[in-house]
Amino acid sequence: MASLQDVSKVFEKGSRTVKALDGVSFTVNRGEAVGLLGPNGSGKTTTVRILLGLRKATSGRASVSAGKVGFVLDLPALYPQLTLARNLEFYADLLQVPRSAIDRRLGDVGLRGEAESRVGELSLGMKKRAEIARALLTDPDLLLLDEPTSGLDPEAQAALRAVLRAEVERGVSILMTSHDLYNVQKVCGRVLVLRHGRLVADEPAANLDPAGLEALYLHAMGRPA
Amino acid sequence: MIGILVRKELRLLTATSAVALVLDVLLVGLGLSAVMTLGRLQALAGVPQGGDRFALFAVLSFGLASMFLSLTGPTALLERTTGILDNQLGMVASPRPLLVAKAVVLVGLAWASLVLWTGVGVAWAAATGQEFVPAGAWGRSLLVVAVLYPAAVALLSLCHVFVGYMVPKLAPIANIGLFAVTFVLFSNLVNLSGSLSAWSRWDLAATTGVVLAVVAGLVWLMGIVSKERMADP
Repeated sequence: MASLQDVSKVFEKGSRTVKALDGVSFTVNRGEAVGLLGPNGSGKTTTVRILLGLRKATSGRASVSAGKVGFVLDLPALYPQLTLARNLEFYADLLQVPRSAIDRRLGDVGLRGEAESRVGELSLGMKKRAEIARALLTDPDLLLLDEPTSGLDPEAQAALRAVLRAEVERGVSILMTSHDLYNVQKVCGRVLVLRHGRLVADEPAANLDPAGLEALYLHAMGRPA
Repeated sequence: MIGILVRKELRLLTATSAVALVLDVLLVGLGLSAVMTLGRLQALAGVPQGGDRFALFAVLSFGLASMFLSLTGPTALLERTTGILDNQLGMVASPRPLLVAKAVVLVGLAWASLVLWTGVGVAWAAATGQEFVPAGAWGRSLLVVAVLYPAAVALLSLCHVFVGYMVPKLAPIANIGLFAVTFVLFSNLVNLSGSLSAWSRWDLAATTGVVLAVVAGLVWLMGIVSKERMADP
């Protein structure tokens, strides 16, 4: 579905260079949900952007073999001045998806009643769910999610987890970056940890209880559990 | 895809800059009324009427077209600062449709305004017995309205959009360059108003050809620029 083979990415920042990714390799298989953990600046967002073609790998190879890819960046895609329905109509047309998908996906994320609300007037949790609805419009085979739960209250996080788990049960592959160990463990079957652009852990989530996941993360960060 | 993006631009324009749009269109009408009133005053004062009012109006409209260029500014700023642009770049194969759609909207608005007020000018002249388009210059005037004006505004719009998205830090300097281009095109049109010779027709054809070639080049360039460059200028 999605794979990185020895991918490195170097950014030029003025006179200095920053290595955002350093020889990262992993594959997200069909129907697999993978959580990508790591502190700020570890290369999570760069990984997602490389898979979406928004960044070019300095070396190595990134490929996506999924037919349809849905994604949520850590930045909004919806125009605050327009209603949720108008926004989704625009993206449905752009992605050549029947408009009937809008009502179905708004129902999936519990926002059918907000279709005629301006996006700017929605709460943060509603906006995040709206972004998920947008990403699901095409019935994607692969979902790339960058920090989908950040800034959400526990109730909104639970609603989002339910939506994502339903997609995994439907056979959708997911690569989800997060700082939130709990949400990753509840949604994903496998956990990757990035540190300073290097992949330092790759474990099945089934092997880890919440304490085990925290211990894995802290160990990967070079700190005692 | 361009049609979908154009509809979105117009929807956002009406949501954010409807008043500015109406004022810009009315200002072009004000320009027409100034041109026609000048002719009327000349007649009342017994001054022989000369010159080419249509060319004067076209030059004036071209100058005012630069106002239309700023209309999509708020949307462009929103898209860049919030990350909406990054999201859309993730959905398209190349940035070209996103950029061209913005230019199409700007050209369409400026052109529609010119066509509207040229029609009003022709009707005004017919109703008052004044001359708006000189006798024998209908073909030239039609060429200006149908080809040269939209091509020249397309050139300015494409440059404006391209520079604004790819090298926003250079936009102020680029705008000076755009003004220079505008000035040259103005001069060309003003020359046409003074002479309808064979030379001016060749000049007009050559200018139109150059402008169309540059427009085609810019559209081609928009298809090959990297999405990474545009997402992080």
